[in-house]
Amino acid sequence: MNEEKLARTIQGEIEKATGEKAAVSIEDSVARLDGRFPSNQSAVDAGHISAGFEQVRGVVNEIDYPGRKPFALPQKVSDELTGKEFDVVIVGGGVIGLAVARELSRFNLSTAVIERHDDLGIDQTAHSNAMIHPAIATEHGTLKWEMNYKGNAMYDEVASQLDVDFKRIGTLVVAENPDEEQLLPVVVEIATKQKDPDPKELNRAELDRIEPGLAPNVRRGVLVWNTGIISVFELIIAYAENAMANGVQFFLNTSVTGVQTEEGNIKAVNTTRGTIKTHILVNAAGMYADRIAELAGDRFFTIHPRKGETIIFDKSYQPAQTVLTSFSMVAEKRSQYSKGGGIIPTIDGNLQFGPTAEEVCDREDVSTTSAGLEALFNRFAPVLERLKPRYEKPDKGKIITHFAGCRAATYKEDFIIEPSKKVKGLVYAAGIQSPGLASAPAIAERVKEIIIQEWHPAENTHFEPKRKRGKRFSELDHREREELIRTNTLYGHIVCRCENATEGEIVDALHRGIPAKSVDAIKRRTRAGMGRCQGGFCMPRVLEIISRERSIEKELVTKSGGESFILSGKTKQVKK
Amino acid sequence: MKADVTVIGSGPAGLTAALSAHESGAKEVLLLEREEELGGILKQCIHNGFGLEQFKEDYTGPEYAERLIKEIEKTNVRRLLNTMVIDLTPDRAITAVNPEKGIFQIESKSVVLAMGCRERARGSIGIPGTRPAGIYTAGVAQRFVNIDGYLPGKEIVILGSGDIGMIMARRLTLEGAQVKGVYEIMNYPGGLKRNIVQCLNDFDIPLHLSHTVTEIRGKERLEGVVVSRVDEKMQPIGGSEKFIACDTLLLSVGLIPENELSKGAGIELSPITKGPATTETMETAVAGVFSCGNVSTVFDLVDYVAQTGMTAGRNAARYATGDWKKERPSVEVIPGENVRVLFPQRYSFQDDLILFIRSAKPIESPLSIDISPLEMHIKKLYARPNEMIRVKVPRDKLKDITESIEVNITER
Repeated sequence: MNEEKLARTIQGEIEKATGEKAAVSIEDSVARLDGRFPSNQSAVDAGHISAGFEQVRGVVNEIDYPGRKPFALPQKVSDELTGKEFDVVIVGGGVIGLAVARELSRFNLSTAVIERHDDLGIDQTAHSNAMIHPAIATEHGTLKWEMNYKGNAMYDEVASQLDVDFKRIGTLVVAENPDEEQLLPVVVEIATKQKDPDPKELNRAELDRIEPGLAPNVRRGVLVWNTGIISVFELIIAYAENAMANGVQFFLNTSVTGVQTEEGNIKAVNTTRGTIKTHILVNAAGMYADRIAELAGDRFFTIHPRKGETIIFDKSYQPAQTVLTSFSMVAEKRSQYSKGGGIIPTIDGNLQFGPTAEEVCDREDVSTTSAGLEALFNRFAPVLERLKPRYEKPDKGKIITHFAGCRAATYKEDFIIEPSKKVKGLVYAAGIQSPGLASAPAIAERVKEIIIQEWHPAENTHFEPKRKRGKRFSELDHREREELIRTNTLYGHIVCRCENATEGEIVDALHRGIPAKSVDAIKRRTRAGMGRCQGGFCMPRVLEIISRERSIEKELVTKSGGESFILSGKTKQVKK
Repeated sequence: MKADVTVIGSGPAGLTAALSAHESGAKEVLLLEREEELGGILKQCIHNGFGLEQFKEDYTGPEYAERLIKEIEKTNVRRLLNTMVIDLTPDRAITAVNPEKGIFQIESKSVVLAMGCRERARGSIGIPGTRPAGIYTAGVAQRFVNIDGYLPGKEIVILGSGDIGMIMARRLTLEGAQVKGVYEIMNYPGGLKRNIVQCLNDFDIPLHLSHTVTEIRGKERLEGVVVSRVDEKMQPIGGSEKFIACDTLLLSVGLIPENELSKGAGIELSPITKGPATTETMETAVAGVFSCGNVSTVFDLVDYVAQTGMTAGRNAARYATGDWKKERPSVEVIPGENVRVLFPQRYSFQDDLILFIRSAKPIESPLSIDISPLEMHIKKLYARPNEMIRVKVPRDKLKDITESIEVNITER
């Protein structure tokens, strides 16, 4: 089909589905949509319909709708980075950018990571469910699926080299009646086809060993054992620290404002803090990867933010040992583009319900909604109650926090990991949404392959794959604690009583590797403030330590960078 | 380390318990405090109203603490500061940590739990919206202002009409901040009448009953909240939403007894008080472990806290010195009609029974508190859940009880 004809066909399909007329044009297999639609959802539907055609490799969706957020480039603040030059600049300090940075540090390449926030991994990565998904739920044959099963298998090594807590707890699909039992072999078959290693059908005795206390009517289930849970905040810092130890440089609070090319080659990247020369630009910019592509003159996809909300329960409520899934949950998929969320334990011993999936207008939308909370609770609480009747009932009073984040989805709903077809030196790791965390090591390897094929860098013979994390009081036995306190008495001062985080850990986080600068950054690194009282006790103390260690006024300490100041000033000064 | 009586926490309950244990003959009393000074939350409560009953004085929190600390200093009660208890076993082995001693064990003949309570945070009440800076519990704001000398913000909305919230409304107004209103989801206030009058009415701060915050807005710092009216089921009423610009939201939405240690020691918590169930001696279900103050149930007056501390300290000393015998099994004390909170939960025939009662709803007409099977009827003109009622039942009246004691509130 020629492109004009295809455009007309797509236009017709969009009109059939949404009742709206979009202007559709196609060039080099990229569909561009314009027009004005009545809602975000209808505009998103138009994008998905267009992407459904195999000949369309990407969809640029410019359809306007009420509530659409205009996009503005950030203002330049300084020139301090001008004059710097690297072989590779990675845009985006999320788990993808960081995993790529570490992979590239195996070679003699000078590499920099630029990140718009004042800390790493705080958009998609920090808002993920910290789960290393099995490949069973991704669509067979997609790049997502390939990266998922390959990345999942790499995590034992990644976690052990980087000293990050990681546990394979498995996804357990249980049958609640004989009809469902009949269908369990299908689950095994699908998991096997998806390359999840060795899924097992279990009898009741075997079920009792891994998920005790199941309802009496549960007699059989399938364990897809490779599902993992990881300390995601530790992983972010670990990747960054290891990359840094191997020579990668990091520039935080730095946003891209332009990409300079010359005769189709990457030359430099303009940022809010000056121009950095480079010949390879890795686009791992998450929510804004399409904007980076546009700045480089290679626009072929649009990111549409899909929000997911999650609720977290107090540690005293731990009814599930696995990612516990009823057969009915597998059978009813919530949305075509999401795995539907689940009942997911965290490595720290909390239980999560989530995430939801909702197309939103604003890429920065991390707001929670009461509808989201109700939906999660009403969907998963009855399942838990049914499957684990001997445990305490799920109770909203045990929710300690509720958070949301956006997935950086493209209309093709697949990852883009490839060199640019137009600009030499531009490499994509874009459209990375769930299961991006599970896929990260494989994505990094793929990006590395693309770069070495083209540029043939020599190996870095000094590459050190191992990284050690700081001491954690809560993880040590009494003898080790004694020793630690003897060497540094600050480890004998517990600041966060819920998570047993000590002043020693907080001070360490303020000085090591990628130093924490804000209260939330301390929380992500040390868990201080992450427990049941959510910082009610320790936050003023953490603020004090930050102020002391960074030698800044307390008024300048932020919750999470930018203008998020915790205090408004000293007392007796309001009227001044 | 060994002790006769170890008291965990040095707020009003712990200070009183330690003193009382000492005065009751315990030789080695150990007082553990995780902060660098004694006094607990009293240190930041610079308002008055402390010790009216106990000392017949109108002290501020720090003055009240100082009086007790001075008493303690005259004794040989051993104080360990910067000391956090990280474990307590059912046989009363305590593991603690501090910067000087590192990790250490304490063997104590009896233990008094006086860890107080914590404030409910945003997560547990599920206010949707963004997560900017500027949302604090009232206690955190109190610490910022009164201990650290900083203001949490300039335009303030308070959710919940708990006492600390109302006290902070006044305090922040005096510091020049603008308190735009106090919003309470219930149709009656959460805190004491005197605080409504002295902290809100006197400063023209509006109290909106049957209202709650339904959304939080703002990216980096709080930009405002949406408040909504709620129906009888406490569900927001659609169409009643109102946006209020503010840079600070203070939460005064309830206190939760801090019982992580108690749970570790195998003490079951009462679903009503969220604290250990105790007898009138303040002994918990684990022998030799006593609990008092807000760790047992959230009290509204420091005098009540001190009273339970005194009882716990005295009995912990008795237990430690061997002067402890239970002649008969204890009986249950059961909350009946119109009673939401009732403390203590059991009676063991050793002391007068001092009951602390919260009604299940506001009753604004004459009523009677009936204690059965005793023919005891205490007449009151009103009962409000936010004002605890204290009733003393003398020991000699209770000696013939065999089954249980039930407390009902009857409207007359």
